[in-house]
Amino acid sequence: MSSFPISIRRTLIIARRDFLGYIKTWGFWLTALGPFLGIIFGVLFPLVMSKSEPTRYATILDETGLHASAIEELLITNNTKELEYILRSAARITIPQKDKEAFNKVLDEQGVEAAREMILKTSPVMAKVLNLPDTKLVFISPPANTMDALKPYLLGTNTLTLANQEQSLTGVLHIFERDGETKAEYWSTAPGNELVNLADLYFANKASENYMASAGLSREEVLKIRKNALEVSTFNPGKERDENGEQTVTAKDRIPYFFAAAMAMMLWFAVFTGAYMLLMSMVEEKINKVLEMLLATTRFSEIFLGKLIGVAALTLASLLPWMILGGIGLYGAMQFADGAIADGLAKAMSLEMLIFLPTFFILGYVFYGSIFIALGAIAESMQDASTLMTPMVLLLTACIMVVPIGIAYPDSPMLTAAAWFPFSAPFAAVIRLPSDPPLWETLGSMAVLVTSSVFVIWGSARMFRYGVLSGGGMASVKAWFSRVVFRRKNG
Amino acid sequence: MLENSNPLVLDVNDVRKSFAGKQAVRGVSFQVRSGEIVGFLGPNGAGKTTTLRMALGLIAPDSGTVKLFGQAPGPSAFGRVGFLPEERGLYAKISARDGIAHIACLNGMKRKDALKRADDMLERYGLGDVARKKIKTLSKGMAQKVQLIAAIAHDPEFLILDEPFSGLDPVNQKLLEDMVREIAGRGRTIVFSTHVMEHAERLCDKIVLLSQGQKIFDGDLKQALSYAPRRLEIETPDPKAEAVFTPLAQQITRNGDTYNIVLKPDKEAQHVLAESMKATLSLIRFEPEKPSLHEAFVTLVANGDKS
Repeated sequence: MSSFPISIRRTLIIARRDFLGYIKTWGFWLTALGPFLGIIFGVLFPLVMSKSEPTRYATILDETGLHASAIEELLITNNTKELEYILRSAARITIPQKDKEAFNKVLDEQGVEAAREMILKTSPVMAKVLNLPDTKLVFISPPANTMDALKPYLLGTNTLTLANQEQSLTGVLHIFERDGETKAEYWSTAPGNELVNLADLYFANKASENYMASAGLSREEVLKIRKNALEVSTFNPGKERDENGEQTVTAKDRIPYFFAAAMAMMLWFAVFTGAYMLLMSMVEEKINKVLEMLLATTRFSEIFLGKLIGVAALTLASLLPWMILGGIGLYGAMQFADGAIADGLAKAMSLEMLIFLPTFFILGYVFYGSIFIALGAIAESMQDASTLMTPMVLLLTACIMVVPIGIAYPDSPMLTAAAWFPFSAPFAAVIRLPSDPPLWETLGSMAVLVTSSVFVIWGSARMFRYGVLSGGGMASVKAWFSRVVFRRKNG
Repeated sequence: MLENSNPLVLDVNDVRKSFAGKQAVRGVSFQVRSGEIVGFLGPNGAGKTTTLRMALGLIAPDSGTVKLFGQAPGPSAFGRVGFLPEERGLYAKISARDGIAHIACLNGMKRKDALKRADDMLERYGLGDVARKKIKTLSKGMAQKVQLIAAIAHDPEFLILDEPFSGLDPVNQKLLEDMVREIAGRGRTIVFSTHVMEHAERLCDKIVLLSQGQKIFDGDLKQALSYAPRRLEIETPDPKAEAVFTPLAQQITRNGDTYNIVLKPDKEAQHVLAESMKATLSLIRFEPEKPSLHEAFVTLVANGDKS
């Protein structure tokens, strides 16, 4: 039976069935809705939790009279810093590049409320979602003068009327002197220790200040000096000189590597997801005994190609929300982010990347997909599928190790070698693109993948026919190894 | 009896197939002509499924040739053949109508027509109310009927059914038999393998018998039945009866006045009757038994195994 030409119609019917068969599963929707679930659970859920978190009332019983107000001030300073961080993060995607300097000036000089007003004017949408967190730890004056008298407030025996509600105390920080030494104890019935952390930070700062003061130094001054310390500039002699004649390495130069790493990871994820679905689809059809009936009406090459197309469409569909969100993020970054980031992203999406990324994406998918289809054909059960999957998962995991190498050492000989090894080539070739490897090397990686894919498809087709139609399976593979490799007569 | 001049649908010529050095099929040849119902019989491991797979082109023979509709089996026959494999199954998570329509579409039908055909056939075969239920929720009998419908929904010219009756209860076996008879009534050609001789006896025009990978019989039902031992049950109180029957019988079993006789191959029931009359035996009962395909099968397999 010849393999070609194939019937496009039958191929698409097989593809359609595989696509529709999996699109109705929970796994697909969990993957597809991953970004949105991530937003809900990663961003909105903590926000809701933080909003619904009850206000905690604590007090400081400072018998020394030296520390209470300073600790309360530290809490305010920390809260302000947190708010500033949130506002600066929000400004990255809402304040146009030309107004960024003005925004920073407003935040530094006029404070968080003025900065928030500025964001509200620029982006009403952001204004709706930008709810600055309220502090949930509130200090009140001690309702009693001794620790023993305060304990009933911790136990709820005594209560206080605060914000029109009867409240008990969450914790008491008791600072006192004993034997000439300052002691601090925290009393609470709740497991949380945020006030302990705050007090620890205060006392650590205080100890540094006292030590420095003994030598006539100021901690504030030391921090200021550290801020103005000399920074090492990075240069790349291979880089084209900029308008100032400099060869300084900036974020713009690093971003393409991170972008390529992200693309390689996405390719890895797509290959992993798609290949896994192919394996499962194959095993399911084999276990369900559907394949033999299909083969009476359809060429095996049509089933093979149909499965590859169906699962590719499925993988793309599951990645679509990620791609949409990524695209929005990319657009936002190029519109609002620092000039260097925007320039870096523009540089990352070079012509080579636009041409070779989809090419390696397809080749990588076909290469791995064919292997997994063949493995599915020889698996006789889900347990067999898991057993066969394990070495492939290990191999795939080893191959993704090229990503950190690509970011840190793009000219590493290991990475160059990985680009010629078919299992790692799709990822290594993509991650190498920002370092402008010679074109022949990239084309060479492609040739290796094409050749390997052809070989794998040929081998997979043989295994498919052998595994599905000739009663071959895991047992036959073991028998073959025993007979041919280990030369045992009764394998 | 069908005319031999009907066009050939399947021509299997001296096919051989081995798996891991073990010969599964050894030089099997047979022909199936248009409109015939052919029973493909043989004990387990006889090579029936392997031969049927080679007939469809699912596996290639090591030697010999197969012609399906005059050509090598494969894509040229797609849509003209319906196949019910021995190891049955459909997609478990889709509905019965979708499962049937999927196979019908692969056999060339448009999806809309295939769905309508699936609904019509499910209704006709008493499965209308489970048309939209997932296949995994159906009973084994129902699922088997769904699969047979999937094999015939595109109205193929030639139907190959590998052990279609296995695993079915008598009611569903009868229903399946009616389905096969109804398809044959429309002039379609059918080959089915089975262990249940009664089905073959009731349905087949022709029988091909395999044993240990070899064909040991190929002919019509009458010819096959001629291999079955002919039996007589005679009741007589006459003490000399046994002496009269012995020269004509291969085997005699006596139970009181009743003799169960297996005739020698060259003897007929009328010979026994004639000899009984000649010896003036007083016969109370004289009952020639109808030969059964089961006995013919056992005899042929036993002869085949000896050879």
